Amino acid sequence: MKRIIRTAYFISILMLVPLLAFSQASRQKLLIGLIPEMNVFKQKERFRLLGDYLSKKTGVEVKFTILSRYGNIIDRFTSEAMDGAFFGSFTGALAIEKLGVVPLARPVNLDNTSSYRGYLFVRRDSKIRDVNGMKGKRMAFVEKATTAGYIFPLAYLKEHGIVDRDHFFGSSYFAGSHDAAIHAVLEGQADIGAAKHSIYDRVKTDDPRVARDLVIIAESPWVPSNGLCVRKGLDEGLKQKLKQALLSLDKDPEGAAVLRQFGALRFIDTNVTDYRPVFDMAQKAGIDIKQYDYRNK
Amino acid sequence: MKRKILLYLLALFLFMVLSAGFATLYIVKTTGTLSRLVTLHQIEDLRKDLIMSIQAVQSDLYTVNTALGRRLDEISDNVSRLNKASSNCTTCHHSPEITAQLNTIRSMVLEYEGDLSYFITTSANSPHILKLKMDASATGNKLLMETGKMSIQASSRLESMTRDVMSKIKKTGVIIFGMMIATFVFGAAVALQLTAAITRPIDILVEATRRIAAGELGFQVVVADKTEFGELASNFNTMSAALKDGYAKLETEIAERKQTAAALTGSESFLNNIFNSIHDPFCIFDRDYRIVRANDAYAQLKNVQLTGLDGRCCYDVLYDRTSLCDNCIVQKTFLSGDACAKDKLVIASDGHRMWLEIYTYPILAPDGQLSHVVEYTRDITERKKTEEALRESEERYALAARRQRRPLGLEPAGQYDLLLAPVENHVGLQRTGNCERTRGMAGQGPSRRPGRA
Repeated sequence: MKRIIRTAYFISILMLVPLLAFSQASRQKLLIGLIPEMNVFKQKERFRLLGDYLSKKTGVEVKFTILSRYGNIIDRFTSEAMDGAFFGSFTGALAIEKLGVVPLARPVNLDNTSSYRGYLFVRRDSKIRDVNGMKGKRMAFVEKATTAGYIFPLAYLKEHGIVDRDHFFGSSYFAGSHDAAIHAVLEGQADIGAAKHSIYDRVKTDDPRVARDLVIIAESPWVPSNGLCVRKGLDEGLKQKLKQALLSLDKDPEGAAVLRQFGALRFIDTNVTDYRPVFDMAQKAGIDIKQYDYRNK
Repeated sequence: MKRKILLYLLALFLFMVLSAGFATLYIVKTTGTLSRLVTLHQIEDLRKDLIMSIQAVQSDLYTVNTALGRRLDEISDNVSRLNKASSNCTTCHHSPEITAQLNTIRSMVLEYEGDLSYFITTSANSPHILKLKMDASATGNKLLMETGKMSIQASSRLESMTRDVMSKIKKTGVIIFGMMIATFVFGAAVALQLTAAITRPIDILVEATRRIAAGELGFQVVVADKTEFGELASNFNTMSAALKDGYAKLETEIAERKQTAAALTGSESFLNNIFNSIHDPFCIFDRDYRIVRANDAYAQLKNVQLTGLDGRCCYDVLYDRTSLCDNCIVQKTFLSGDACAKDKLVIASDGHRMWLEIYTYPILAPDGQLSHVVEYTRDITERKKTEEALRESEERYALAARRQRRPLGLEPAGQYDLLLAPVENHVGLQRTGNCERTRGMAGQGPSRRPGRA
C-alpha cells in the first residue's frame, strides 16, 4: 500500500513538471490598444509603467499597442484580436454599440475630474470669437472618432445652424491627436482647433504660449475620460483582476509611480451609463453611432 | 660604521620611495586619463547609438504607411530608443559649451518626436500631411547633421586624447624604466660603497695579520677611520705592539730558561756523575715508596735493570710484593724522621751470602716536611767474614788457651797484638775490648751528616 502511494506521488510530481513548463510557456497575454490621444510616443511611454503593474498584479502579460488613428481602434480591435483598449469617450461609445465591449475603469485627472470636455479655441490675435468668425477659416479637427476633436465641434456647428462643415470652413483636416490640433493653431497652421480640455491644460502647462496666444471660444458638456473597456468574452476572473488592479492603484505604494507617470490621481469604476452624454452629443450632432463611418476623409 | 650603513640604506630607501612615489603619481595620473578615455570611448558608443537611432527613425519616417513600413509599435520603440540615447548623453558631465549643444540636440529630438507623431496621426489632408512629413524629415536631417557634427568633433578630440594618453603611457614606461635603472645604479653604488667601507679596512687588517704571521711583529696599521674599524685598527696596533713586547720577553725568558735548563742539565749530569760515582748502592724513595733515583750499584745489587726502577715501588720491583716489607727501614725513617741503619743478610740469586749495611737518611723539603728518604747500602760481607774469621780465631785461641791453661791476657800485649793486628788491619776493626759492635746512631758511616746521600 505504501509503495502504491509513493509511486502515485512520484508520478504526480513528474506530471506536474511538463504542466508547469507548458503553463510557463503559454502564459496568457492581454493585448490592449491605445488611441493617439496625444503624441503617440509619449502616449506609449505614459502607459509603460501601467502595463508592467497590471502584468504583475494579474499574472498575465499586458501588452499595449499604439494606434495611429482613433478610428483604427474599432477595426483593429477585431482584426488583431485585442482584448481591450483605452477607448476615448466616442470610440468607447462606438465600441459598446458595435462590439459590445464592457467598460471597467477610467482615470481621475490631476484636477480631480474623471470627465473631460471639449474646447474650441482660436488664436487670441484672430477676430474669431463665435461661429460667424469661423467661416472660411482653417479648421483643425482631431479625428472623426473623437468627441472633443470632432463630434463636439460638429454639434456646436449644428447647434449654430451650420450643417455642411466641408463648405463652411476654408479648409479642414484631422490633426490626428489633440496636442497636434493645439499646436496647429499655435503655429498658425490652423485658425480654429478642437481638443479635449485635459490635453489642452497639459500642453498649456508645458508651453506658456498656449495661455498667452490662444483663447477658448466654446466648451462641450462633460463626457467620460478615456477608460479601459474589455471584450465581452474575456475571462470573468481576469476581468475582475484587471478592474481591481486599476481601482486599487492609488492604495498600493507601487501604484504611486504608475499614477505619477500616467498623470492621474486614481481610477474609478465605469459602466455603460457613464457614456450617456456621448450618445446624447452624437445625437445632437446628427450621428447614428451604429452606422457611423469613423474613417477620416 | 653602523650609522654609516644605516645612513646609506636610508638614502637608498628614500630614493626608492621617491622613485616609486613619482612613478605611482604619474601612473595614477595616466590611469585617470586612461579611465576618462575609456569612458569617452564608451560615450562614443552612445553617440553612435544616438545617430543610429535617428537614422532608424528617419527610415521609419520615409517608409511609414508603405509596404516597407514598420508597425507603429516598432516605430514607437525606435523613437523610445532615440529618446533614451539622447537623454543618456546629457547624464554625463560636460563643459558648458557641450552641455548647451547636447541640450539643443535633446530639444531637437523632442521636436522631431512631436513632428513625427503629428505626421503619423494626421490624416485626411494630403498637402498638410506632406508638409508635416517634410517638417519631420527636415528636423530629422538637422538632428542628424548636428549629431554628426558633434560626433566628428568628439571623435577628433577623442583621437587626439587617445594619442596623448598613448604618448603618456609610453612616457610612463620610460619613466618607470628610468627609475628602475636609476634605483639599480644607486643601489649598486651604495652596495659598492658599503662593501668598500667594510672590506677595505678588513683587507688592511688581514694584510697586517699576514705580516705579523710572517714574523713582522709590532707591525702597525694606519688608523684613519672614525668608525668601529678605526677602533679595531687601534686595538690591533696595541695588540701588535703587545705581541712584539711579549715575544721579546718570551725570547728573553726562553734564553734564561735555556740557560737554566743548561745549568740544570749540567747540574743533573754532575749529580748523575756523583750518583753513579758512588760505588755503593744508593737509592732515593718518595713518600709512596717509589724509587725516585737509583744508581748502577743499587740496580746491580738488586739484580734489576736500572732503567726499570724509576717510578716503581721498591717492594714491587725488588721483591715482587704488593706491600711494604716487614721492618722496612725506609718506612722507619719516614715515620720517625730520623736516620736509621741496620745490617741485613741477603742471599744473592747465585746463592752466595751477602751482608749489607743499610743506612737511611731523611730528606726534608724546603718547607721542612719529610719528602724523601735516601737508602745507602754497604756491602759488609768481607767485614762480616773477617769478623767471623776473627771470632773463629778467638774461639780457637780460647780453646787453645784453655788447652794450655794460660790465660791469654797475660801474654805480653805485643804478642796478642801480633796475633790479632793482621786481622784488625784486614778488616779495619778497632778493638774495644769485646766483640760487640757499637755504632753511633748519629750517622756514623760514610756519611757524616744526616739528610745527604
